Amino acid sequence: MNGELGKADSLFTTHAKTTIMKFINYLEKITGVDIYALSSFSIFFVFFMLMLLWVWKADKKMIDEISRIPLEN
Amino acid sequence: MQVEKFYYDNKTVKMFAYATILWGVVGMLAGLLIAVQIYLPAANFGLPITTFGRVRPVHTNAVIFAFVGNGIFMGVYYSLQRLCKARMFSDTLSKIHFWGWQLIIVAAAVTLLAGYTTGKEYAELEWPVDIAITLIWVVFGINMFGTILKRRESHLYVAIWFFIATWVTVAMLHIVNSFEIPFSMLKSYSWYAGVQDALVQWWYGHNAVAFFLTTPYLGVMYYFLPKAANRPVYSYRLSIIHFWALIFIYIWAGPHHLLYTALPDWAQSLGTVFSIMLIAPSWGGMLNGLFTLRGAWDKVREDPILKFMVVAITCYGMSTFEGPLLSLKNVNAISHFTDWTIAHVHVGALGWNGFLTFGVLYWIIPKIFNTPLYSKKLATTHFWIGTIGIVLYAIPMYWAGFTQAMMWKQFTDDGTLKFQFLETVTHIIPLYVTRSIGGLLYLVGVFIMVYNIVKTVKAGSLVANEEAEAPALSKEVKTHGKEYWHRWIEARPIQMLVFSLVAVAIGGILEIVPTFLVKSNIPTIAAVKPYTPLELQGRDIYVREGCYLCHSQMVRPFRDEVARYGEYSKAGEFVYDHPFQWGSKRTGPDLARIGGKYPDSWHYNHMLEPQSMSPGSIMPSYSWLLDDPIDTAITPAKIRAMQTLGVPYPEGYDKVANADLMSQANLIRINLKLDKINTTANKEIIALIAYLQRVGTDIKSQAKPLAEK
Repeated sequence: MNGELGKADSLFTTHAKTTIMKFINYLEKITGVDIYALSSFSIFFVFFMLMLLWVWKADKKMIDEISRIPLEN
Repeated sequence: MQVEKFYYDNKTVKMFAYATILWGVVGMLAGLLIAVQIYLPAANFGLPITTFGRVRPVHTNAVIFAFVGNGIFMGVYYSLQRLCKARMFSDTLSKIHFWGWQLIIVAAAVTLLAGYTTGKEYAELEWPVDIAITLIWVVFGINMFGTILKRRESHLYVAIWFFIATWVTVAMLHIVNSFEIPFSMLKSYSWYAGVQDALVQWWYGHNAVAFFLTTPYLGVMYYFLPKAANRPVYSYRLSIIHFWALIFIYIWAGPHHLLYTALPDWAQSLGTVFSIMLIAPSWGGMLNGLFTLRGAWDKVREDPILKFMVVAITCYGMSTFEGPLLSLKNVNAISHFTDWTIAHVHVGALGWNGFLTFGVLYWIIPKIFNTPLYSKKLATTHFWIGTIGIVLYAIPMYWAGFTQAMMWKQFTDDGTLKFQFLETVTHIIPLYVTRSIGGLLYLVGVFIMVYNIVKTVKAGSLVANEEAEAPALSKEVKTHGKEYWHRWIEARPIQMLVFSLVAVAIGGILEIVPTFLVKSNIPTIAAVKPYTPLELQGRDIYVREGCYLCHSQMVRPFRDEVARYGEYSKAGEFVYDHPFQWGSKRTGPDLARIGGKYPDSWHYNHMLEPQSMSPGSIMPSYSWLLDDPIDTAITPAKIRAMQTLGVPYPEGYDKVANADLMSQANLIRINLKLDKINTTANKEIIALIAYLQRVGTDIKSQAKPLAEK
């Protein structure tokens, strides 16, 4: 984050403090931003594995029964 | 067990079917008009309400929300009752839903043509209409969930999951993207500005495609395809995976609309990664659809309904394969801002949405009127004309897009640009003509369908209340073997709703929150100042006339774009842009650095008659701007609204803003007079010139970052 962006930031923000829009409550940085990505990946991964497991193990008769619902009437 | 007798409501289905057809014709006519306007500027008729910038949003909104929207409701109202073995929850709510939605469509068409637009693509409708949409959407939700809750079938078939996910996600997208500050009865400013506005808009825009044009139609596919083929879906297991993977992944992909823009790089990459992952569930769904017809291809040869569905599903597969490709940065560098995008969306709209709708209409109308279709042969004719129409539409647009992008990027041996922008436009005009012929053919097909359906309706009579019987749902849930957790969700609609919301909200929050919160993501630029009152008025005229539909304001960091337009765009330049106006298509050149490029008189003459300044230009005339006065009465309200949004005008500036406005307008008037143009200072053209001369000039007063090294 301290590459190009950081440099541009320090150049441009010296006078800008007063002109920041009201509705944006800027944080200087989010500490431990990785936790967002990691937790969402975990949720995604766990949910997906459980779903695949269920799909794999589900009772064949029930699956057949559900898939025929549209044909009933 | 007690068998209960009840009646399916076919009347509402019929009304939605009629509305689908009516708005389909209207939306496609508007599309044909703008397709012709692109190569025949005279077809703009010199009137504000018939000019491209106002008709184009009518076309997109009519096709998406009126044609496909009513198509969704037709499909849901028919299939949901039968999948739940119950009549719709409330006839009154059905009526309110139907008429409310049609009223919204009429209000949308009228306000868009009158120039009331938020300036955000596919979300152009202004705040009163936004509120009405929210209310009617809630009515639809209550009616749908009421039906699901009183169902006589313990399982929720997968189509219903798609309907639930559609409902909850569209509600979320619509509300988040529509935050705006009204400053008059019909106008507002977007709450977000610049980069944030762009991110929220394309998070919305992409997911409008996902959750308005795709998921509800997948639900429709999972019901009507087995019906039409008279066999269950190929793999019900696959449909479960299809569902969860699709809604989990789709919501992240929005930033692929903003590659190479001033959006922070991490957000762009995130969009790309998820877009590529989308191939898997999309193709899973397509194959599931096509494999349903395994061993039944002889039926496809006979039955026009299956023909429509097969091409629809194939088009779904093609556009969902193409979508991820377009999300790769190297492909996007070529495709973006060109007609390639137009080709891509029309494969989806004409092929997937259009053809599936036609298939369902041909299936539903004979069913609810209890009579065979008037003519299978005409339906087959419709199929072939429509298919040729799609081909004639899409291929020229792919060709045009690719050709134009290549021309934009060509340099001579001396290192200068090889082509003027206008040359790249006039070069592809024959392709525009071919495209409009494709569109016309497609529309002819629709008229054949209208005739066929009118004849069918006349031959039968509506079974308004169709009798059905089913045992009441017992309180005990039947189990098969072990009770697995997914079984637990799939019989519980409310939990399903919550889980779907969680799935889609995670993606939205993770993408949007950091852009709003982390300061380094939007570097502010000290030289960027708020617009003057006159420029603000001019900007609102720019939005009103839909200039953003043909002109981008986003120079990407490419050699050819910097050579053609100037310094590439920075995130910090847009912090006062409510709404952002980056655009998504360059039918005309980019305007991000238009300020100071031409004299005031050039703009004046160009708006009066574009061809006088750029011979061969396809831009329409905006002559009314030369006559209509600026609405200065509204200036204070606009300034106050901007102040509320945090734009740093001094305290009490709303009271003196008009004085500043007039003195700046007078300077432009004098400037024009020097070039022998006599006009008064209070004309709209003056405000527009003030705005255009301001765009992209703020950072020119800034020292170049490179000089620091």
